[in-house]
Amino acid sequence: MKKTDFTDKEVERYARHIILEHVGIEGQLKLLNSKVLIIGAGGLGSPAALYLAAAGVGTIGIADGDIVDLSNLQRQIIHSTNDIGIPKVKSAKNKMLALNPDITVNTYKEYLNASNILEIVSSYDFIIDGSDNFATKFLINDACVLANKPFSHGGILRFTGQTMTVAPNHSACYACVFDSPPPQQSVPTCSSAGVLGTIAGMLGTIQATEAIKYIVNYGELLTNKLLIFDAATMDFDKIKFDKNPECRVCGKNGIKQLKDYEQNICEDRK
Amino acid sequence: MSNVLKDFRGIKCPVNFAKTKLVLAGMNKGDILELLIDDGSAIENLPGSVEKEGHKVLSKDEEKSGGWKIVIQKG
Repeated sequence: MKKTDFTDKEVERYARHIILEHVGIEGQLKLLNSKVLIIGAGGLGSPAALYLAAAGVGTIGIADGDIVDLSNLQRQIIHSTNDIGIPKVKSAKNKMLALNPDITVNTYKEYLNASNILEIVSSYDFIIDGSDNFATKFLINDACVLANKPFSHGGILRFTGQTMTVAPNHSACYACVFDSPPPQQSVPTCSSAGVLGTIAGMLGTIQATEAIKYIVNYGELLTNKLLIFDAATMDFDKIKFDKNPECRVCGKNGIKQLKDYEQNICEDRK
Repeated sequence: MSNVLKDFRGIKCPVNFAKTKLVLAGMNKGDILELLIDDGSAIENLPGSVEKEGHKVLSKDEEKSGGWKIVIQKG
């Protein structure tokens, strides 16, 4: 049921949003009525899930087939030491509801693939890509283009992060910029090269911010722009690009159906 | 034109301002809101915040029973 008013508790919980210009009463109501899907309850999904729960995003979906492992805890801050061995989506849901019991959390304890992603994505307003492999990143892009759903792409490695927001049919998609996954073993992964834990927090928080900006309809999204940062120097850059009319995914002869890309799953998971 | 009285004494910043915004959102332009608020940070901050939102603070008076009464006209 669509919310049109606040309870006293909600006024108190969201007071700093309600008094904030460009969010305000209307923006907070939009957040309470919104639905965001987070794919991956890992390094990027952890801060994104916590901040979106705190912001009062009314329905949050979280998808991950993995269980919590000790080696995750250096960066996946939604999970705790005593969660080791339980599904990440369960651990994440517990923390989100502890932070904000008023929201609804839907869990999908599965890896997304060409046969299940469209149905899941289609019931959300905005999607956050917190996945850890190129096959899933391209699949998320393709599904969001087909379902016409805006999403935030994110990737981290070593001391660096990159993110862009895709508004299908309006802005460049992930494949406009990167075309297709790199050959397996040609690029280092977070498990082979390592990643500074705080980078996950920096980037996941940027992705959650894009989701909130989209929902409250304020500011400029990272559409047609790739934000890259190197925390070693704290240099942030934005690279501008345009939608590719010949893009194999969103171009005029773009995809009509989904396919699975070859998996190159993070070694952590095995 | 309507006249609304709200006692937000004992409600701390910024929740008192959030509640004020919600009350004003439900009123019509020109309506009068009489607001009781605490001394200290409430009276120091709230009138300015209300004016920034485009409303008019018509008066600020110390209240005998404690705190302040401010009269706001919805802008």
